[in-house]
Amino acid sequence: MGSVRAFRNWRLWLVFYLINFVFAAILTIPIASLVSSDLSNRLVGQELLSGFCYRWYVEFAHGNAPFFSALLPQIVFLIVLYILVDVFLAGGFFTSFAASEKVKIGVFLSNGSTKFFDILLGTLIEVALLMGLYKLNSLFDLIGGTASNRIVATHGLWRVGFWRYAVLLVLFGVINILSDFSKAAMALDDDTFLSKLTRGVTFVIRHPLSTGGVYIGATILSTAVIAAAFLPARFVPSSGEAGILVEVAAGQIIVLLRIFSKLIFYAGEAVLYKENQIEVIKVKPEMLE
Amino acid sequence: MNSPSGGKRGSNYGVASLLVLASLLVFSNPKAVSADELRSGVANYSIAVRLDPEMHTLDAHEVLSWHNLSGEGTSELYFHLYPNAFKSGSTTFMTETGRNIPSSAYGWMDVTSFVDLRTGENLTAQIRYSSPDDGNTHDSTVIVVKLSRPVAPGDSIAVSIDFNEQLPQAIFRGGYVPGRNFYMISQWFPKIGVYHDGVWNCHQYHAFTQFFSDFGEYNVKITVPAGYVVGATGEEVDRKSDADGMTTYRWVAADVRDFAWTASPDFIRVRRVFKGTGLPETKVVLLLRPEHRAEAGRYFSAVDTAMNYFGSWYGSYPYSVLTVVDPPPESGLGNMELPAIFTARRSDKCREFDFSLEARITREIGHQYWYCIVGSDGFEEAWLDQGLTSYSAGEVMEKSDGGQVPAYSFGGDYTLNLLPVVSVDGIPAAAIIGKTRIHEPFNSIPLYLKYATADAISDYAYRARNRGAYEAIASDKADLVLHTLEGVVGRSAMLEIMRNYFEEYRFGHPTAADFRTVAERIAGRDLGWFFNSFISGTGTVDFAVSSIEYYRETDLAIGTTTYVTSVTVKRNGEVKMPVDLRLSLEDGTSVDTLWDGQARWHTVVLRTNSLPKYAVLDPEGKIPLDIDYANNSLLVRPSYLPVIKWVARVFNYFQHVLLVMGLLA
Repeated sequence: MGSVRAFRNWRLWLVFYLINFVFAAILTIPIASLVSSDLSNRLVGQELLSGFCYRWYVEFAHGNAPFFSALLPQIVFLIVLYILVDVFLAGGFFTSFAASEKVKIGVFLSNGSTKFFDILLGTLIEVALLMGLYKLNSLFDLIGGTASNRIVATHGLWRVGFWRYAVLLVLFGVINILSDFSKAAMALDDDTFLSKLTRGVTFVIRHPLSTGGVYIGATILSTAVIAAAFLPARFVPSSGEAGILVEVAAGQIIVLLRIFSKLIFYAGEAVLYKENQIEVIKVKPEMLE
Repeated sequence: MNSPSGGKRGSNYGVASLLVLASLLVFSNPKAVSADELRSGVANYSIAVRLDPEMHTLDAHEVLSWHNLSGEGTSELYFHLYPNAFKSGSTTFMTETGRNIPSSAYGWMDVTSFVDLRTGENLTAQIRYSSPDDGNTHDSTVIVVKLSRPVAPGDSIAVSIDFNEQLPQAIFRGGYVPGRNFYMISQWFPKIGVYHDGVWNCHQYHAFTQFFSDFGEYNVKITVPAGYVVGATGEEVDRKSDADGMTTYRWVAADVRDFAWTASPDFIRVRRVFKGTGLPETKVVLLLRPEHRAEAGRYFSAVDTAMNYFGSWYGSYPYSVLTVVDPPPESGLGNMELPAIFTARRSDKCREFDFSLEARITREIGHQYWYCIVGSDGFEEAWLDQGLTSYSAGEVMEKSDGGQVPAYSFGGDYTLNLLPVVSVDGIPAAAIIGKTRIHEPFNSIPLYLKYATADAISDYAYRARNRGAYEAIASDKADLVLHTLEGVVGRSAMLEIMRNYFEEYRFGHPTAADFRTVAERIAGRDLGWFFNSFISGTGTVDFAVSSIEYYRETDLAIGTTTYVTSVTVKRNGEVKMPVDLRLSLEDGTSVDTLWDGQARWHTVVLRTNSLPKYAVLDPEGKIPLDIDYANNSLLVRPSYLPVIKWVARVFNYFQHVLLVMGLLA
């Protein structure tokens, strides 16, 4: 159902791609202007046609270190702006995919704006939890000094690494699922922020298999797309004009597929949440005996 | 302070006096090793040491026989007491590293008795600390002992020293690892400085420099709890079980400049004999951690490869046993070279397709050659060890593994530190970059560029701006300088230089001047400009093609067309040196010429029968020190295909980065 709605709302797909395209272009322009002279006029450009020149790369990076230092804040600013735009779009995506009919662009934008702050707050909570997870990872390092060393000596390192990362991965997934369905609640319910947050969490607890299924399915899909991204790099010789064209086209197809897998995820969450929505019955005075 | 130059040390000094001392020793201290077991050398040690694994302490007795080779007498003896580098947070080592370790990790050494065995005089009260490098009164890594009877030139002295030691936690170069029953005991005994021309070379323990000491012979009794596996410099010649549950091992080593040992009950000991073509056999002892049991083959293979190359290129490995130690990851002892023993940690991130373990082992065997056998001064001319090791180990890796380097260190300090992130997210550009091999010596470029003008190679290493500058200059710049020297004199001459240098100075203390002498003799020309520019100077090399223009000349009478091409080249760097210039033509041929590189710029006019395609300086890559490789060439007609390809990749990269960041929404 979700993937059907993701296909049906292809314009949203296009909007998402165009926004990604414009932001990436803005980020690329300064670097493109910087490298164009070396790559077009110097012999190293010909070397880079058929491979990579490490010597050039390190000298270029060193020689232009001030440029990259100055560029970094701009890159960070643009990425933060892009995340905010994504947060804005998320409200529109959830409501559009939850609706059985096509949503007009005006409604899409309206939903995006009205749900923006709630979803942003949900996003910040997710970021805080993920940072906590990162700290937990550091804690593993800290306590690893003695305790895990004994385990290493007796059981072999891979077991320690396996369990450590298995725990971290599960926690990461749990945070993700709880956050995502809370965001769905932010977009699809009308209530206070805390109520919606609680409802999203409750929803996941009540439907662990279906929410986990959507999450795992979407993860498998996006992982498959990411794996596919290696294919053109491995098999397409991109030294000639045709090869470069194929590589560029393949790159954009991969981006489109990644966007599509993300929208399917949104759609899956939206449909699942909508169809199993926890009904909130507001108690009115006349209902009281 | 200069270290002595010259070849091999003599080997029969003061034997008679030692025999006299032997009787004194046997009766004066029950722990002593009998002195008749001592053999000859410049600084001969007989040590008996006992490890207490509960307290992590050593209790030891040392008898030193030292021969004054200087033309000057001395009434003082200087000793290194390196464990005191870990005595407090105020030592020179701690200050230089900026490390703040808990006091429970501290270590120190106390000399409890110092007796001149010539006179029987107890000189313990004459011991004073000295800080010749920085005057740090909190540093006690060097002691001076005033003698009542000087040691005349050519004469010998024997001293008896009792000392005990609290081992530091192994944060750097040696100590114990809590909870692991692992001990790496290096720089652990009172070690006499090097006396030359009436001056003591006895530096304090510094954060990033290596060491300097005389060659000698060692006879060491090591007592550890039964069940501990011991590895050490030299060869185990005896083993006895004691009544108190301890085991005493006796190790001997000749013609070594230091002695180190390791002990752990967890070691798995694997032995193999290295048999190189035309090389003497060497017993290789591998002390592995249990979890790396399956890695023995990889260790031995790397040792074999490196020993074969080093042996056939420079000369045979002189010691009969080489011990390789696999230290715990948290020990801070990843790579540490000591005579006939070194550590090479197998990183737990190490993967089958990276060569970090092989690179470590190769490098440590390089140090065996250029520090342990050729006795260079790690304080004052560190490049003679670090640089020659980088150069030769890099060559071995290039020959054996095709110049691959571990992916996770790819890019050094630069933006491709993001590479792991990139490859996780499957950026096509990263996949291609990941396959790239970094050829020698270009992996030395990043750090060199960062500190290119920080210090001269000839500056004392411990005075470097920081650890990065030290490594950049002593190792990476020196590596690039040696490759540039190879470009100047030719590959075969360079091999001859290295081989002759090794043969002439094994078991000696050569200086940079000695290396230059050998280089000039083999090359058959004066290389003063080279050594002045690159060893003593801090100038950089940067040649550039600044313009290329041509016009057509047609001789109507005979119907031929000639292209007259003007190539203007520039010298942006301070270093003046000759450089090849090549004009490549559209018909696939090229014209080579040589520019002396003296002027700031120069225009070369060349007449050819084919259209010029591009001009390139240093077309064979003989000058890896050139800090801007891109400007070495210029195309006649620009080509925008590479721009399209790489800009599209960068664009695609950013698209993926944005998508990843957008996952938060």
